[in-house]
Amino acid sequence: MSMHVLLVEDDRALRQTLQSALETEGYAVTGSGSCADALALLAHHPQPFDLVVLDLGLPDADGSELLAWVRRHRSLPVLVISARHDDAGKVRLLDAGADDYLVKPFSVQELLARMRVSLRHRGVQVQAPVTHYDVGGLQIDLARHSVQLHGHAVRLTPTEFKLLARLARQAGQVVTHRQLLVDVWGAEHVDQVHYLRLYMGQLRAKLEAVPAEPQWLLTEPGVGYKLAEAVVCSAEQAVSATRALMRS
Amino acid sequence: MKRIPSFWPAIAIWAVFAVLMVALDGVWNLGNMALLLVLCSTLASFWLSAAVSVVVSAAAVALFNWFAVPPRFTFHVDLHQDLLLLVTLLCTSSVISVLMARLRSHAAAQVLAAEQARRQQTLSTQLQQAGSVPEQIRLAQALLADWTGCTVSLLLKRPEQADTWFGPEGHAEPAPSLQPLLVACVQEQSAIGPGTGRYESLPALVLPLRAGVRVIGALALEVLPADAHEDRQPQPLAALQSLARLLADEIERLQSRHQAQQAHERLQTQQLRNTLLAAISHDYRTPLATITGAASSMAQQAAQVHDPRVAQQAQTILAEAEHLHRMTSHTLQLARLDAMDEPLQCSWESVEELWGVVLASTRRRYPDRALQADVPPGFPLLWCEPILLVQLFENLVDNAIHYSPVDAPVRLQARQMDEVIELEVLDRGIGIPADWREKVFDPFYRMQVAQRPDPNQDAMARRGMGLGLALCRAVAKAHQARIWIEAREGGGTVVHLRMPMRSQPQAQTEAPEEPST
Repeated sequence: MSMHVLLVEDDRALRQTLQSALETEGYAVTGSGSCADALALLAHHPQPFDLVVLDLGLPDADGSELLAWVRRHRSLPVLVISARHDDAGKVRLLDAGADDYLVKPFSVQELLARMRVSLRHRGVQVQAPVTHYDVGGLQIDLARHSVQLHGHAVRLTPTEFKLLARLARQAGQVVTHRQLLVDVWGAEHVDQVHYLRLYMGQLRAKLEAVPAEPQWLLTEPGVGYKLAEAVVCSAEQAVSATRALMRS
Repeated sequence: MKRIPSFWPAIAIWAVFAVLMVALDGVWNLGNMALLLVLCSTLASFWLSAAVSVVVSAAAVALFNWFAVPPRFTFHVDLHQDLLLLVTLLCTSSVISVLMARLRSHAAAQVLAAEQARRQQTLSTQLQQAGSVPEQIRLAQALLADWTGCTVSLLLKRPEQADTWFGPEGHAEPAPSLQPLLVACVQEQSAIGPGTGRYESLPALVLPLRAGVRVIGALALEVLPADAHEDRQPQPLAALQSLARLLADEIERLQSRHQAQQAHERLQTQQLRNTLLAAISHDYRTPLATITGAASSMAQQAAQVHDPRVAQQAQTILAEAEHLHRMTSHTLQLARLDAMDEPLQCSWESVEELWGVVLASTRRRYPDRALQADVPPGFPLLWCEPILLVQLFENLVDNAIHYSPVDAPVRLQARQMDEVIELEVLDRGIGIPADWREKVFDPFYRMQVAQRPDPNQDAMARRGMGLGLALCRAVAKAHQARIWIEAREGGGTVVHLRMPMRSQPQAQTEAPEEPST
């Protein structure tokens, strides 16, 4: 059975484009143009939804109200689409329980990739917690506290490891500064963003071949960090550097 | 100058009395004659001051004694009752004189008070109808000149504005001799000049314009030489001061009303702009998202069915949409920075991370270009708004790519100097002529097409950068940083961004734990 997606978007043209693109990819899509309609569908649709793609600017209510409702009543991944460009808004949404966000305009490939991550993440969470991370030569074993880069053990400080582990548990998803600071340093350090800068710098120096072009420890400026779920072959130098390392 | 009305009617009355005394001598008895004296004294006191009236009455009683009371033509008084009569006469006429004088001065004061009230009323009404401060001052000058017969000069001190001078009618400024007096009056915050007890010898009376407790200016009243001898009563100081206070209050009221109005208008403009920006942002991005979505799925599917033309067209749509998107973002950011009404959302940022984001997004768009970033280990953190700095460097790197050959590398280099951080973007492109290095930061300025090395890139390079460098400068300015362009040694361009270095936040360090095996 195909995955059922609720697409909440008030702009007809965009809804149709996304709907046809998603259907081409094999998703079953139900479209909705308003908050009230979307709530009714969520509550009464015979076929349960697996994922919500939500545009924030709805004609009858702010999309964040729908997000709050979904978080209270359903365990569904929610991917937020927004035309707003401010970081504060993104961070608030992520902290309020959105799984990911996309800022307009975006490509369909990007949307599909983020949908896959959200779905996988939800699925994994139901089954078992993440204990291993192994992408592009970086291996993290959370249970054994071990980190290996291309087969060699890497020495991390306790805080560096906690930070890396926190990112690994949600690999592929953005973890906000706030979440990282609370989980790694404690709630009283929630404003000390510079801790993150320093420790991420140290981590990159130990793990990344070219720290300014990271493969794993990716930055979302103004929002947070994420650990790459798959190494994207975009950074040519970084990739060739990795190959050189792998060969040696 | 005559404070007392003419005394001629009093002299006439006493003359008539003298004539009647002689004429009626022997016809009327002494008592009737005495009554006639009281009547004359009463009438005469209308025109005489109290003291004069008492003295004249006393003299009249003495003469009456000399002329009419037996023994006549002496000052002796024979009978006790005659003496009583004389004393009664003297007392009665004195009391009447004093009462009359009081009544008269009281009436005069009332007239003066009524006149003052009328003037205040007139001044206040006229000032309230005036639409601007200069208009108010011209009205007040005309009225005061009319009432006092003086030339009226003014100095208005206004917060955050140059002092404003107002000369008498027909002059733009007060006479140079008056200007220091006006300034002195504002400084001393009290009235100076004739009648004030301070600097009595000054040529003009200078009053402070006091609104509440603040002195907002000064008012000089100078008696015209031509009018000096004219018959005019000088105004009491208190009355003039209350008029000056009224003028000051009205000026202040009008100014604060103007300010409130301006603030309100600014607020409305601001709200309008914010609404407009939000609308633009939403209305542009949603169709852009549609185009991007459609084109990206088209490009993907066309690649699957091996139709290179459709894939090519879809790529073009994507590139155009991306361009529109960047332009929209630039415009929004510029408008926001230009207004500078909301503070930047700064945080501690690492150059390595910011440049990492810049390099990643640039590589997505130009996968074949050689890019490199050098950040020394342990480089200081920047206190900045990360999105803005990322946009700044994206623009600079884009420019470097557009204006240099395909195989020329673009480098980002971070350097720490004494108290500043210098971030540089270096290319081996065509360079920028010295006299254009400042101009390129103006909005919509662009280098001539003929200067570009690769004509095939024109289509991409011709647009978009017009706002890019203007945005860079606005971002730099908002961060108290300086941005400038220099020629690079060996050919090409260096763009420098010099930021002040802030004292770094503290964080504890720790030793690595042994990896467990």
